Amino acid sequence: MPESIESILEALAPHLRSELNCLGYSAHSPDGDDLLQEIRIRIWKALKDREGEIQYLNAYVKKVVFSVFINEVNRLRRERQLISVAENRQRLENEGKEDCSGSDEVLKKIIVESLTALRGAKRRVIELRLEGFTLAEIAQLNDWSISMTCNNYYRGIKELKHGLANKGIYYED
Amino acid sequence: MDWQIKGFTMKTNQPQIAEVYRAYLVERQVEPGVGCPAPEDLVQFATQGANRKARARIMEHVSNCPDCALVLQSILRLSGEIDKLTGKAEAFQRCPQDEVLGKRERVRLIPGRRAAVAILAGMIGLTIITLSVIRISDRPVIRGTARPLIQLLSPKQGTTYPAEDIKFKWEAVPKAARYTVELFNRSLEKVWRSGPVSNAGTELPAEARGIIFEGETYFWRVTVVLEDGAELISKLAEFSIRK
Repeated sequence: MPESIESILEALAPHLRSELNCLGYSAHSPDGDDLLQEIRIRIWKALKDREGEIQYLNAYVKKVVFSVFINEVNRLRRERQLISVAENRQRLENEGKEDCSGSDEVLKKIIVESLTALRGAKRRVIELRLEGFTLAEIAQLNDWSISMTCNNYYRGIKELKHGLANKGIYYED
Repeated sequence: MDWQIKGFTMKTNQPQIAEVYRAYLVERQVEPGVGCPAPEDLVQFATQGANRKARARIMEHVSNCPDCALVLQSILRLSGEIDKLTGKAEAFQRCPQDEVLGKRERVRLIPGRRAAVAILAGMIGLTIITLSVIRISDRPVIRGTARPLIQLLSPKQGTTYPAEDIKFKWEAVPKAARYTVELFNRSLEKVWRSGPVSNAGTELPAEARGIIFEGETYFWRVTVVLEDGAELISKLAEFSIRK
């Protein structure tokens, strides 16, 4: 395998592992090095088939990495579906026993109500931001300009602040 | 406490709201993975884009599904890393990928019959409006005054400056009471905000220079408060710091 591809894969390995960890990559999963090895083998096979030359290296590396990544995500989803059945049963059993303070519940209810009262692009951008996307990512994913995303975000925050203030909650910047 | 003096009973902030929102989404989820787009579709969407309808459908789902949001974020980050490592600056490459991945579907550039009719109707409408405006403009009637626009002079859109030379300048706005300058990073997070400025220009203070980095891209804008209390906000201008 050419050195350049080897160095790309070496540099990519920690990122791939970290992303899978974020998604709930567990100890039961195959070792991260195995995944990397699988990527290496696929690229090596491709190089062999194409006489050592991959024309669109960027796209090919992406194709192989995402193919391995997709398999892992699908496997994690299957695992989680099985676990969720047990968790739901546990949650139903514990529902009556939970000791949540009243003010916390009220605060949660008001926050969710104020968020769902937002409309259109302002709501979309606030929801995505709360889920951890950066404003630049939100702009790219929605095919919006950066200015439009920025304006909708700050207007949405302003409306949210106003909505919370009407219900007696102070939003701290 | 300041917020209690103002008559509020509770206080919150963005991390708490994010936590509450995520918990709300998880509680609402009947069974994880059910109704979610396949990871293959998310990869295709993040790396090659999608048409308007599919984009709206996926983004509607992602904004209400914490699992898919995490997968999409991972895909974006991995895609960005691969682009960086293989020497491609842009994260959203389209054409070469289509060829290699063997995708036959492409965005249709030729409008369909409906689109053609809509364009024709639009052009006729535009002609009628233009003719009406020409007729109306013959009458010497003044219908109020338009709000002035704020022209950003320096740093100009798309330029590169050494960190020590950054001086924010803009065209003075008539009847302006005060101005405020805001600086955002590449992710459009606010990194600096000036105090009230009375002139049409200000410098980045020495203590704020520590938060800007060489080779990075930044955005800036000006907010003006007029004498009547109205606020005007300029467009964002992008500039980079020289290495």
